[in-house]
Parts: sequence; C-alpha cells; structure tokens
Amino acid sequence: MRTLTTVLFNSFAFALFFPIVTLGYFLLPHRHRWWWLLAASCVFYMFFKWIYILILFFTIVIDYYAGLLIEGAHGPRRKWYLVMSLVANLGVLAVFKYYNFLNDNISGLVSLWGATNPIPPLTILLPIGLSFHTFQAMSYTIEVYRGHQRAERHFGIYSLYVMFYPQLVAGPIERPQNVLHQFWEKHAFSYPRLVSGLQLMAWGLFKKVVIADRAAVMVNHVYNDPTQHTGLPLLVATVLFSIQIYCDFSGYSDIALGSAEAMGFSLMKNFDRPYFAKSISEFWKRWHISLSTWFRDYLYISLGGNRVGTARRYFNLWFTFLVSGLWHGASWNFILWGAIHGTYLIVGVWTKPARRRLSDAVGIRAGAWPDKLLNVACTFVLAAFAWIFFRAVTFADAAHIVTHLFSGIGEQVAAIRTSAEARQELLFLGKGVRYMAVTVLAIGLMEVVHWLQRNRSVRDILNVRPFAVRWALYYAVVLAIMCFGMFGESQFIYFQF
Amino acid sequence: MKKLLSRLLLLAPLGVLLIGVNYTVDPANLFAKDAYERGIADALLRGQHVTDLTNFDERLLQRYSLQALPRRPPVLVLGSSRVMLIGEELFGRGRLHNGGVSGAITEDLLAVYRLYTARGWQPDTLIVGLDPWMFNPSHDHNRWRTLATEALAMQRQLGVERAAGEGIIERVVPAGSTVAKLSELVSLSYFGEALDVLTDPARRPAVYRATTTAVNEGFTKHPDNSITYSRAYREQNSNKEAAAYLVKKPIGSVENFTTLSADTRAAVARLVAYARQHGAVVYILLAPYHPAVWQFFQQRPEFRNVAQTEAWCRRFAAEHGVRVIGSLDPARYHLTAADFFDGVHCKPEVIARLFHDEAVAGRAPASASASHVE
Repeated sequence: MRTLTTVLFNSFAFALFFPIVTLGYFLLPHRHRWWWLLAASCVFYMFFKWIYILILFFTIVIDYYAGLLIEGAHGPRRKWYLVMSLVANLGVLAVFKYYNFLNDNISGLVSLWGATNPIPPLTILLPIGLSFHTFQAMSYTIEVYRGHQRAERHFGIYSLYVMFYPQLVAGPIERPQNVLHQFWEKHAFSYPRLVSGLQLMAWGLFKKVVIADRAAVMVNHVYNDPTQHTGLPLLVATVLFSIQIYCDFSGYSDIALGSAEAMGFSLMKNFDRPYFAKSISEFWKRWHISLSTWFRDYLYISLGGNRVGTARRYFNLWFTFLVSGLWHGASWNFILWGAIHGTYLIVGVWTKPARRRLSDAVGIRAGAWPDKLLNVACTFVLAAFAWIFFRAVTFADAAHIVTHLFSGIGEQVAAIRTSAEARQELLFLGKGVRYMAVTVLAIGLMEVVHWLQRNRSVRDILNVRPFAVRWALYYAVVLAIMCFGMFGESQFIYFQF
Repeated sequence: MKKLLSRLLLLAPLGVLLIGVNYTVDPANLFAKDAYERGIADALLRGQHVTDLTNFDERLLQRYSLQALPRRPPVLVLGSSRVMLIGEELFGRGRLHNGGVSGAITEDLLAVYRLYTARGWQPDTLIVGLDPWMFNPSHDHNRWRTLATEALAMQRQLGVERAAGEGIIERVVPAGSTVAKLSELVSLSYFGEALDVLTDPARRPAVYRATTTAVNEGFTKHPDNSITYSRAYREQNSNKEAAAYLVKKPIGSVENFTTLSADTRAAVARLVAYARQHGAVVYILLAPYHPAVWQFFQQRPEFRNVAQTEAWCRRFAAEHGVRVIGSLDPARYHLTAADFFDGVHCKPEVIARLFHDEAVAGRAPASASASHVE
C-alpha cells in the first residue's frame, strides 16, 4: 500500500541486507565490486520510494559532468560550471524541501491583507536523506573547483560516492578526498576489521533501540501535546530528548561507520561525546562533525570567516548557524534553533573574559575539575534549551514549553513524594518506574563507556581482553538489545532531513 | 572465514532463545495455525457470542465467517472499528453482517465486499463507514494484507488501479502470509511482546469462550460480527482516553496530508457505483469523534483534512444521490463526552440515534425502522 518502507538500520530487512551485501562484496573480484555496492545502494534507497532514485540520478549526472567540465575549463567558465551544479543541487532541495514552507509563509503574509495565495502547495514526500546526499554531492564539485580533488572519470564510482548505502540517507556527509579513492582500493577480507565494524554496529543499535527509542516514548508523551504539561514533565522530557536525539543520530552514525568498516571503508567520525563539551563552540566540534565542518569549510570561510572585522565575523557565525537550522528543516522552529546556537557562540565570545573573572572570584581555577564540570553542565543546559525548539511541533508549543518549564515545580515535587500516580505522570512521563529505571541505567552505561573513551577507543580496550570476557560482554549487549530494545521499526530522526 | 563461522555459531544460543520464546509464548497466537480465528468463526456461526478475545486477526475472522455464513444477510456494513458496534438489533435478527475491521482502509472495504459477493450475493443495503485516515495518501496501515487476495481481486473488478508506492517487502511477503508469520519467529518486536507477556501475566492471551450471553466482562464478538467492549472499556473515562489518543504520534494517521488521496476517492466512488448497479441502497456513515478530539482537530491546521474528509463525503454523496448518516463533528448531534467510550468510538446508543434520526427524516436504510432502533 502506501506504506513508508525503508531498510532501516534497526529493521529485520537490514539484518538480511547487510550480511548479503558484505558477503557478496568479498566474494566478487575487485573489478566487479563497485557495481555490486552501487546496486545494493540503489536497492537500499528504492525501498523508500523507488521513483525518487530518478532525482538522485539527475543530480549525479549533473555533478559528474560538472566535475569534468570544471576540471577541464579555465577562467570564469570554471565558476560558471560550479554555479550550474550548485543551482541544480540547491534547486532540487528548494523544490522538495522548502517550496511548501515558502508557500505557507506567502499564504500567511497575503492573508494579512485578506487575500488568498493562488499558488498551490506541492503534495510530494520529501525524498529520504535529501539534504545529506545533496550536500555530499556539492562538496564534490566545490572541491574539484578548488583544486583539492581530481574529477572522477568513472561514472559508476562517482555514483557510488553519492549513493554508498551506509551514509546515503543520514551521513556522515563525506568529502571526496576521504572517500572516492577508497572505492578504487582493493579491500581484502579482514576478520579483526569485521569484528570491529560489528562491535560499532552493535553499540549504535544499543543506543538507538535501548536508549533513543525508549526515551522517545516518554518524550512524545509530553512533546506531542505540551500544553497539557507544566514544570517537571517538561524538564524531564527536554533532558530526555537531548539524550534521545544524540543516541538516535550517533547510533545511526555508528551503524553506518561500522557497516562501512566491515567492508574495509573508513568514513569520517560524526560524533565525539558532544555532551562532554565545555562550551558551545566545542559542542559543535563534537556534534554532527561532518555537517559543522561542511558549513565551516563551504559557507563560513566563504563568507570571510575570521579574516574580517569583529562585527562581520559575528554576522558570519550567526548566519552560518541560521542556515544550518534551515538545513535541518523547513520550519521557523529549526531556523530559531540555529539562530539560538549562533547567538550562544557570539555571547560566548563576548562574555568569556567576564566569566573567567567570575570563576577566579569564587576560587574556581581554570582547567580544574570543578571548572570543567561547571562548563560541561552549562553547555548541556544551553544545548538542551535549544533542543526545545528543535523538537516542539509548532512554535506555539515551543513558546509554551519555554514559559512553563518551571511552573508549579514546588507543588509537583510535593505530589511525587506522596503519590505513585503523580510520580508516574510527572517524573516517568506516563511510563512505570521499571521502564524509566531501565532507560536511566542504559544512559548511565553509555556515559561510563563515554568516560572510558576519553583517551582510547573502548573497542581497543575490549580487544585486548580475554576471549571469555569479550564474549560475555557481547552477550550482555545483545541480550540488552533483545530484552530492552524497542523494535517498532521507528525511523531515525535525521532521516527527515 | 572458518573463524568467522565458528564465532557465529557462538551466537546460535541467542537465536535459539529468540525463536524458542517467540514460538512458545506466541503473544498474538500467530502459530496456532489459524485455529484461533477458525474456532471463533465456528462459534459465531453456531449463533453463539464469543468473549475474552485477545490478539486475533479480525480480517481472517471475516474471511472464515463470510465463507461459511449459511444465509445472505441483506445488510452489509463496511468500515473500521468505528462501525463495529453496529449490530443486527437495528435491522432484525440475521439481517446484518458487520464487516468492520480495526484500522480499515479502502482495501479492507473492498476485500470484505469481495468476500460477501464471492458467495454470489449482493447486499440490499450497504453501509460504508468512512474515516479520515483512509484518505491519507501516505498512511501506514497494512493489516489489510491478510485479505490481499480479495482486495486485489476487487480492485481489478472495479478497475481501480492498484495503489502506488507499496513497500517492496510487503509485495514480496504479504502480511498475513505464512512467510510473514514465520518471520515473526525471529522478530525482536515479537520477542519484546513475548517478554511483556512473560513478565506480566495479565497480558497473556486469554482462551476465548463461547457463550449465549451477549454482554460480558470481556470483549465480545456477536454472531453478526459486531462487538461489545469489555466492562472495563465500557466504564472507562472517555475524556482520559481522548487525551491519551491525542498524545500518540502520529495521531490515528490523520495528520499532515495536504490532499485527500485520489486512490481512496476513486475506490469509494467505484465501490458505491458498483453496489448501486447491483441494486444496493448505499449509505455513507461518518462516525462522530469525541468532542475533545474533534476540537483538537479543528484547532490545528495539520488536521484540516479531517474536516475536508467530511466535506468531500458530503459533496460526493450529494452529487451521486447517496445518503450520509452521522457526522465526524459531534456537535451536529449534540454529543458529549458521555456518549463515547474513548476518543474515537461512540457508544451504540449514539449509532442507534444516528440511524433513528435518518428514519425520522424518512431516509432510513432499507430495513431499518424506528422500532428496531429502541
């Protein structure tokens, strides 16, 4: 029927798809592997809505030829070909993602004068992962234009660069310098590498189904109708959403990196324990690294970056984050979310000396653990506050949450002390204590792993342990996924972008 | 590679655990070889009520019931759970078959109609319950797949093109097929349900009970395939249930679609035309929503299609001389929260009132009369 079916990384279909593709990849001679991966990637994408592969094909053809033309041309022609490629990519994005947003706003505006907007809305689904593969395609033509990358002659290999299934629908948004050459390299089967990839995939799946999807149930209870809530449930749901979105997206990235690694491909790291960041600036060096570096390299620096006056630098920063918000979704909530982060960064720079003086005044030495802890906590609070705008369905919902975050907390705390029903509603967001306890324990486990990872990969630590210890841990993780995971085939949040 | 295979064998106990728990606990009675639904159908065909039902495939039950009905019920009701409370008391004993199935979409309507007409019967009265989610071009309802053979046959017969955009998995492995059921053996979501059943005895699937009593403690299915909710459900606070319905996401598949599905509109139009060609009087039934749910839909632009569904149904009915019973808007019948079991299901008295109002207006379904309504 009109079912939205995809080979989600957390689905049974992927449990069949991944081993078949990986096995086929190693069984085939090197010269045939590219088409095997390309065919698998096409199948992976076409499970969503097969006809949309034509959109991908359109941009692939444009960018493939644009790359060749840019490389072969001199003078202003090079720029013209680049512009042609960017217009084609951004045009597709504009039509599928931003047309209705723009049209809705026009309708709202003209209705102020009592008129109606004659332009009809588009009734089409947003192609899955459109923003991701469009940005990846654009990075190719930009890098060719800048002379950092040679144009790819092999159409199939170039198509694979855009369509490689592990990162096709939700990144990481790769750079051609990092990935293109890997499709030409011969990867022999390596048992340790396969194990390493599977470890990462299992960890990603744990984060997705045991933490993110469990938290989602509680978050949805509040955020789907926030006007019914004030105080504690809004606070708990906001904190839980901060964890949910991290586990959802980083879980996806881990599975993507792991499945690529199993075949011998190395994709760029997309997350580096972002909630351990000690400032918003550091947060963005750890969160969705492939996107933040994309914006840094192709937008912020193109606008002048740091090589301009202070006011212009602040504008560049703010504008980059505004566009980043818009990249995430065609809604004012996302734009506001981006603007908030841009503002955080500017205020962070302005207030840095004052904050340092304040710390010194209360006796907190820079770099000491109380200083670090305080900064990590403040950064988390700021990020969580901004997530309100990201998650709220409407701007009015976001406004309600922000204005009622602390309403009635005193009475609510008194109520949860005496009433189990109040605890269930206000603290466990409609679920039982056991459900919340499992979720909190899983989050705790993840944070322990994060802490262990501060200097060294947990996989490296694990791989030198005795066989029995490793397998006991494998069993524990798989059993935790089986027993506590949520398997309703929920989509990954970032698929919508 | 040898090392890999030997290591994979180490994971085999987990696979055995998964399959073992799914098969032995079987929370949805999937591996009972259809005996569950067939047994229910047999009891209903004997004229008994069946109570304490859980986790059964309503579509399969429709197939078994309609294939074995001894006599033609002249009134056929099609629709979702929102029409399932319509019983034969409105039309006379043995005169109605309720073909409602939960979460119905047009494929379900066509499939049940096909099961009925495959007996060589045509209904005198056809009541088609239409719900807003049926008009969502990208809803995710796929339970109709149990009756895929009948649905697709009826689509071909009506010349309604098979809906596009179907998932490849559903095409290869139709829901309700043996392969789909067997795949549940390795399903982690089924494992999760099985664990819930193991840790909470209250969730174990009950053994159904055939009885001569129509109203019971548990959920009850009647010989005409209509239902009565369990006592707990009948006595629950509808406001609370309506609020719970509104926090689910997506809400009943009714949000965020900008146009009413052309496929659905075509299927409804062809079905109505076909039934009328074969002598049926057709009614479109719009079961009301709980006042709080309706108000919620009215206030949010993403639910504007709910009202548009009613507008289309009324326009279609007017253009084709089809009568509409009821309204999605509870205010049209001055309904209050007390008239509902939950956010979307009104009480049988309300359904009776809707039909009664039609009878008063002289536009009652063929065999209905005020006396039946009481």
